[in-house]
Amino acid sequence: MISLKVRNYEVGDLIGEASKFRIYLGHDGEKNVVIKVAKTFEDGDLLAEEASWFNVLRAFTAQVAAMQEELGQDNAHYDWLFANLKSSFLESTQQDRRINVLETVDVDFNKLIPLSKLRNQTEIDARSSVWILGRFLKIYSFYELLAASGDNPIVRYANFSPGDYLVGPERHRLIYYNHAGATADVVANTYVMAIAKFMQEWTVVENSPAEQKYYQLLSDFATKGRVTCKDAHTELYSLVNELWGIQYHPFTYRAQDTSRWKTIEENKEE
Amino acid sequence: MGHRTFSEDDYRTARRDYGVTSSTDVTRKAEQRARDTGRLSEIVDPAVEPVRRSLIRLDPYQKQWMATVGCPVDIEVSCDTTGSMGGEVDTEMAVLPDLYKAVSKVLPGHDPQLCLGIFGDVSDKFVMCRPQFEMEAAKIVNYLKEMAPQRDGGDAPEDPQYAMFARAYLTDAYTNRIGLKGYHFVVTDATCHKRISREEIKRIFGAEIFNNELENMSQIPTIERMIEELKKKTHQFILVVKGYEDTYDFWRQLCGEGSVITLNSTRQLPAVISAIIGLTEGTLDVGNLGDHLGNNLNLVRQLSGIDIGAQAKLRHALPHPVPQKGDIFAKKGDIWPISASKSDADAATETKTDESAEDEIRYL
Repeated sequence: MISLKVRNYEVGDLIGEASKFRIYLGHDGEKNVVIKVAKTFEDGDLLAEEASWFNVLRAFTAQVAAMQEELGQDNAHYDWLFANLKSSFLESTQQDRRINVLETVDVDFNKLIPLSKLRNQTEIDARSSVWILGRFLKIYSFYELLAASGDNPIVRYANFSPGDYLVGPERHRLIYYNHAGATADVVANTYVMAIAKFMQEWTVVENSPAEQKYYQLLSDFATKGRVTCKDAHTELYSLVNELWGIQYHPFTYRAQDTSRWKTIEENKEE
Repeated sequence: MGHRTFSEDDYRTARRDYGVTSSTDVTRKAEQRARDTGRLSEIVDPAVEPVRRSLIRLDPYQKQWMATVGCPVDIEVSCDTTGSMGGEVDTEMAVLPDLYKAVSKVLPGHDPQLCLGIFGDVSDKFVMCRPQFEMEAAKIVNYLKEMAPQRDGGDAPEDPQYAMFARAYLTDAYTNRIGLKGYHFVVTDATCHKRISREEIKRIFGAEIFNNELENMSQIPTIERMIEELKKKTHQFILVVKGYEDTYDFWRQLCGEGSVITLNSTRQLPAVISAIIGLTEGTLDVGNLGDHLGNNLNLVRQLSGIDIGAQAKLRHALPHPVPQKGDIFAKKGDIWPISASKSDADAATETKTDESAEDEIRYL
């Protein structure tokens, strides 16, 4: 089989499509990558904007990691929350259409699934929803940190869209990998509400007191939001610590309209 | 017009030949001469043949003309040399090889032509020095050593607006002839006067300027109008070196947010200027921007705000492909080479997609 190559990247299967670009799985010779190809030269603007955004994220995650190391703090691994931009170029053999190549740190693309796809096919248990919500709040609190760190004209929150995230159920990864969408000013409240509402609709909550208490917090987030995402993150984990303790819980889900729960955990899949 | 371009060997030879052996005070002799004679050297005096030219280099070829290098790209950098920035010609001289090398890397197949000037204050005897656009080391070293920075002032605002005026109204660039833009950078640590006066224009560019090159200029433009014109002809940037916050705000209001970049040191000029050009042309891999800028977060952030691919967009709107080395021109003054036409591949890019489609990703 003849595979298409662009620069050093092998272009594999088409996995998704938006109005201005297509997404392919690819390979850089060492690992899997995601390759986004603008549909036209003009559509490349959107991918250029995305590339700039991922550049800023990478530079800032590196700066934060260096600062944490200097202060002797644990690495918060913000780099795990965002795809890493490997390359963004105008491809002359493709009529100068812009191509963005993204990789993920610490987890292979084969182990990841688009959040919107997962959401459409499954329901999840309360404790699985905890870490996903926690990751969301960590991502948005990182933006707050970025906004506070300097005079940056492009720090705006990305509008919440589940299709922009990949989930790695085994290793509890939530990865923001698509910024080819709209942004808004930094107003935490709206995002806390939108994310909590999304999680509320996805989560099946049992009648146990602990799960009911968690559901109350989720409802409160969904209706009132919080002043900052960092506040919400702290509040969430304070409650989770009280209810279950901070510990690994395998991703637990069931297919839509079924009652049989399944789990996916590290190095073991059911 | 030849085919020679900049090389480090030529640069070293030129410095030796011109006696520019020290890393500081490279303009000492020219400054002394300017004080003694009351005149600038002709090769940097903006009043001597005021229009600066950046043209495509052509050699005779079988009764026609052949492009010897590629499409010229005019890059003008005007440095503040007042007060704290008095030693910037030394810096320009020192970073020149790196600058040329860096811009060449992001302009493959093109002919980068550099006009590295200086400016001061209208209260100075000489408000600015502006050489021709050059591409050979010997000529650039020669004009740099002929600059006469006044080194006075330090009391902002300064007067770079006349350097900007010169690029807007007193430049004949091939890029503009074919519908592209050149590059204009002002390097400063201060704000500028917002006044452009007829008297100063005559003093800087010659008493007869309104009878000759600017004879059609019935009214002196406001600074805003002049910047508008400058932006029509160049990708225009203000590089603020260690400036105060109000300096940055001043320029941002005048020139627009994406046009103002702050630097810590003029040593960053080659990396920053070449990154700006590479991003604007679409030749720099955006994924490598961090590496290109030494992973300087502040610069990565700022350069992420510029209009990436702006020149590529202009290129795509041209009626013909940009001329390349070896293209044949029927006559010397022709704008386009013979049988220049848009290729099928280029035409294919004009196909539009359905704009009404949803932006959300549809997974397969």
